[in-house]
Amino acid sequence: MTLVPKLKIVKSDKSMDSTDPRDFVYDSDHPSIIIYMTELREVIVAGNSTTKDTVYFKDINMVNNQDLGFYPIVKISVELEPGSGEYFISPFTIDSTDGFSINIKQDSLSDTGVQTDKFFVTFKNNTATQKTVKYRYRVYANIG
Amino acid sequence: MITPKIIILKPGASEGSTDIRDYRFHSNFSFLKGYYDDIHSMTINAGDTEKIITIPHGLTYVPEVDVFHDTGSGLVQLPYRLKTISGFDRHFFHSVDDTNVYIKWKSVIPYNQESYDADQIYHELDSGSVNLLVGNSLGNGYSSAVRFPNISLTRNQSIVSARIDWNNQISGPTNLDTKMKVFGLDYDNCPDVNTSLTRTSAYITQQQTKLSGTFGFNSNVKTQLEEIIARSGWTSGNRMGFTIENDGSPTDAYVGGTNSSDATLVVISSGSVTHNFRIIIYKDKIA
Repeated sequence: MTLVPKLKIVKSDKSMDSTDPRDFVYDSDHPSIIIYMTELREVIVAGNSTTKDTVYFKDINMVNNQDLGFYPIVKISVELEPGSGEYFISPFTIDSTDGFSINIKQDSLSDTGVQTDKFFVTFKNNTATQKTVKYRYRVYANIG
Repeated sequence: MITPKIIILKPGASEGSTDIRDYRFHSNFSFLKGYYDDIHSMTINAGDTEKIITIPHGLTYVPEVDVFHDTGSGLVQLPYRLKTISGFDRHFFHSVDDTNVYIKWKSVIPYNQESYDADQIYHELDSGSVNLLVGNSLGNGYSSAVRFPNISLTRNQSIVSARIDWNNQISGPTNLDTKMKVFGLDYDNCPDVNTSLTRTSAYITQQQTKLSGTFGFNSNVKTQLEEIIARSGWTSGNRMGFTIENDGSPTDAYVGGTNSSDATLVVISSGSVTHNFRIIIYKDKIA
């Protein structure tokens, strides 16, 4: 018989034998979402132009690029107005006519997307002046 | 310094694997850490085009946030765009800074607004024309009438505002104002329009200054419209008419007369809607 290692941390007033996942602080029998990679990046976008930013996924030691073998969930938050400190969560349903100067481009599948070894996002600057955009990405993975 | 680690490999996986799928637990990676989970409401009133609710999060940095709209038939994650059958967009979206979470609603069309394009425009100088002409041309006073089809208002429905947008107009040659009165046409279901039909007792007076080039102006028709939909025979889906009449304009003070003129009835009905949002804030930082 193969022993399967497990790790369970049960809430103080709950039973270790509970079948309700909410009773556990951690239960390795149920996959949990981890933040696999995250970074606050800056992208320079020239006036009336686009910039495509590509991030390659890493191995668990965060040393070498690695194909994860699955398509991870990637979330992006962007400071649409540089310096405002206000971050919007993608995908953006607001277009430039609403007053925002920089948006993630959505009109081409090759501009913004996730693959098993990388994700890429294209910023579009609808103004004549160069913008430096901050954005935070999070790559999620299941563990358990 | 020794950094303690907890690592649990899956059965059959190699120690030292660089593939996250080989692990049941790896303390190098953090879980999403919940911080706040609550419901907040947003009330959108008739005429609103924007609405924001602000939720202080009590953190000193920009945290990760998820917001879900309780549509009544389930939770829908923000941001998203509503495309209505009328073809205009409404947005729900959210943002976060180091003090607050903001949930925002934005609409191109004011909430509870409906627009109706005229199906008939009549003026007295040329009864075969389909353009507005009101005022004094070459010493003669002229009036016009307009009709709008398929009005969805029910009998005695409460409204916030009603106006007619007279678009693509031009002015007469004088610099003096055009003087006008605007009546409703007092019918349950307005027939083909002309300026001899029965008018409502409610009316407004207004003046339009001369403007160069092509321009638009509007007339407040709230009281006239309310009189029409108060009629015992008024039914949703009926046609509604109005007259815009010369009211002693000086010679060559007029508006209209261009072939591209048109008219739109814009009505905002009373009422509001409340939306509920579930907000989940994580301790993890965005910035």
